[in-house]
Amino acid sequence: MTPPHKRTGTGTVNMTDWREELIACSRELLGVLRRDLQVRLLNISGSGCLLESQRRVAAGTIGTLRLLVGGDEYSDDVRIVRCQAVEGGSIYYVGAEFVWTAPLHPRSLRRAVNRGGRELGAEAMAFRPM
Amino acid sequence: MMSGRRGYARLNLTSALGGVLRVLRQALVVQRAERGEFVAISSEPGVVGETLSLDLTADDAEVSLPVRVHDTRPIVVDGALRHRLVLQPLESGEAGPTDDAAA
Repeated sequence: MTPPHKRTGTGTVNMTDWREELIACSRELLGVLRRDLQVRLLNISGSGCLLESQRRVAAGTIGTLRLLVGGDEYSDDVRIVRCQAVEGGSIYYVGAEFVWTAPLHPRSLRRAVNRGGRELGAEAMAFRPM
Repeated sequence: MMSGRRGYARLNLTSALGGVLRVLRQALVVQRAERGEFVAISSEPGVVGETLSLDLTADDAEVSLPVRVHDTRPIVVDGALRHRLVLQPLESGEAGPTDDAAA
């Protein structure tokens, strides 16, 4: 988690002093609560991916999935479509679909998949007929 | 290769990649100066012990600080169900990964 900081038009500064001013202030403020969940990407396609999480994630949740691969950060917005407990409930398999809120960008997960997924270390799953 | 049910080929990771799923929710924050805690009114409940980041905007500045959910309880605001979260600011050294927060 990033340390507290204050962003202004001139850059980022330590926010300790500003925090004291903020706490002393009694008016209502608009805030955003941010929750970062550690996940592992198990497989991926052009429409979505399967994640492994140690925490339950409610279906319908929308978030941003970020992966660091070889020093490059890949990201895309996703919507959680299912969450299934495995191994006695300590691990969850989380199914997510990509939300097309932005065009493909150079570090888009969707774009990496369209290029074959090699930059993510992914390979096509073999199909085994029943 | 893929089954006929799928519209996209699925790619398997040769080794699972670690990452972060970042989830945001809006909250109206009311200051509580006596103990330095924040009280937030949110549309979703919190989990006591969970570590979150609280991004606040005031005037031209933004501040982001780690907080821990100290209390969460449902309330009714203008006839709608909301949740009142008491958030304790953490020093940066106290903030661990969100997944380690007590459920």
